Amino acid sequence: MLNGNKMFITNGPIADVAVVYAKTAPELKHAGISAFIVEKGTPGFSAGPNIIKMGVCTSQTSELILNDCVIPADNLLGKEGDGFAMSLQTVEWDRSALLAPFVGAATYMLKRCAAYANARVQFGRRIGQFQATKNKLANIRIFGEAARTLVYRIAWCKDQGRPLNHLEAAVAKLFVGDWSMGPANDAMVLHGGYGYCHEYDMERIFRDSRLAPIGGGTSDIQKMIISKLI
Amino acid sequence: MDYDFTETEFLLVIEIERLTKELLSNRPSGNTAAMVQPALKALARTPYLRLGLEPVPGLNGLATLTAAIEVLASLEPSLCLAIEASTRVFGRMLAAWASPDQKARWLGPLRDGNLIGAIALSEDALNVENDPMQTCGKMDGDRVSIRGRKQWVVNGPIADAVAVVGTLEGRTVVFVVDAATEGLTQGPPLETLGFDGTPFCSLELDNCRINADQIIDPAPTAAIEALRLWENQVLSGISLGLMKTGFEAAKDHAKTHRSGGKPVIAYQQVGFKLAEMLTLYQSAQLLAYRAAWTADNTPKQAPGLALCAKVFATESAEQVTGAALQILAGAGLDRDHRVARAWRCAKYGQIAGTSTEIARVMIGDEALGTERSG
Repeated sequence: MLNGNKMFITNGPIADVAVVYAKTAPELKHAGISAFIVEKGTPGFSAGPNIIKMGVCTSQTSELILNDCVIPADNLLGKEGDGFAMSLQTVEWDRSALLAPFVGAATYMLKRCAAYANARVQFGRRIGQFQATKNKLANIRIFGEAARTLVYRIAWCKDQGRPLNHLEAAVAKLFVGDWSMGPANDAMVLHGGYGYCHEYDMERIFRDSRLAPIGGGTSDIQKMIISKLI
Repeated sequence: MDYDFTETEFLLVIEIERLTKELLSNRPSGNTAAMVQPALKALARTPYLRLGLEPVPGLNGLATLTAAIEVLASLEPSLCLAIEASTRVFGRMLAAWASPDQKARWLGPLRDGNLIGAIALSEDALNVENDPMQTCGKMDGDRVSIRGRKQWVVNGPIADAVAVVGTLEGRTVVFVVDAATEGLTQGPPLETLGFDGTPFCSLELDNCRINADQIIDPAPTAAIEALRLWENQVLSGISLGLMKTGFEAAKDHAKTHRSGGKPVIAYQQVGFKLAEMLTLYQSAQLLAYRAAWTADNTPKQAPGLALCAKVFATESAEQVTGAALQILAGAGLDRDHRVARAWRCAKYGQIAGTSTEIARVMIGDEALGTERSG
């Protein structure tokens, strides 16, 4: 029987099945956490409404509520007490593959901003001819290239079968998190007033970028990890 | 691209570190310039001087080189800049454009550690990308007379041969002038903010006459762009070394210096600062390695990526070394502390090679798909 609440669960409102981590032996601390499969429709298991977020709106997020939720013993994933180790493997994806969308966003921003700068005319010139515009394009590209290399390194290490290097992953997450908002801001400002409008998607990217230093472990958490590991 | 070095590459980097420490332990007091020749001779016993000039079996070309420069620069940035200006800029110019006879005359001795080279490119206006070059040559039979003035020449005071970039009959060429040539005058050694052990000076050429076979004609290659690319690659590697110095010194200090009953790394103001420093350092490192690998493997993509790496590495170097000084607190205020020196050196990278401002314009132009503009 499971009781408790989980928060900020991606796909919460639409998931057919959830993996729920729960304390089965609290006195054992991390070693007393186990993982369970809970299917949609199980009595006592429900999802809250979609949380309206600032960005990444297409991805639905909600609370999951477990209220005297009884599941078969067979729904235990792995062995009792294995839950924490499994959750660390989940974190591996948070701090590796899930950084890739932010790299993709940088690539997209660069293309869109270059196209806009080549088309938009102000003061008798294409705005791409102003150094301030070139500066912004350069900053977007520099961030994108640095982030890409960090993310690809982690992906390459995974392909080599190496366990996640937590220091390298934290560095990558911190960089993508803390340094992505500057280029997103530049992309929005480059578009001028249109950058502030829904019709042009730069404002969406700006709002989406705000997730980077929060989701998958906040930047402060990454800094704690890094400062402990060095 | 492999995101790891091979054992052979690691061993080379370790050997460079060992050799450099050995050289520094025998350093004549305060005279880094006097170390350049012995250093080149010592490094010639390893593959280090050949990297970037020719394929070296078992080593990953410029990526390996970047790691080796990083280590050398972390130990003695002034010496590193002098060595690299000679080997990687002057040397690569010869490797790319010189005739077989010219290579025999200069490149062979350079590779053996027996020649110090210098590249004289910048002029009074500094940015030869923007302003027409004033240094020019005029043919006179089988000789050429050169006149002009070059500024901020690394190794100017100690070079055996100087590659003077100028124009000849409307083309950009390189005049290789031996040090004792009449008409070539060195200005006084410059006292600089950083790299204070690297020999810098200006050069005046007034009816400086050389043989026609001392002219290197890189046409149809864009000579200045190539020289700047090589400079940028060196400066990226050196910036990594400066960050290595800053981060490691600050980390060691933070773990050992105690305040309020605990090591200062336990305070988030310090621990978090170190985390940010390492993030910039590792990000710059990976980008520089990738830019170097790209230069060897997909050269068409090299210039833009090299510029990104150079801007990021040089700007990060100032931030990381500055943060290191902050963590060191009073200890870092000693002018001769290696972190203080690294911080003073960091500024150079943003100005030399392709300056940060011009680099951003060029990166922007590449994104726009336009030819470089003002």
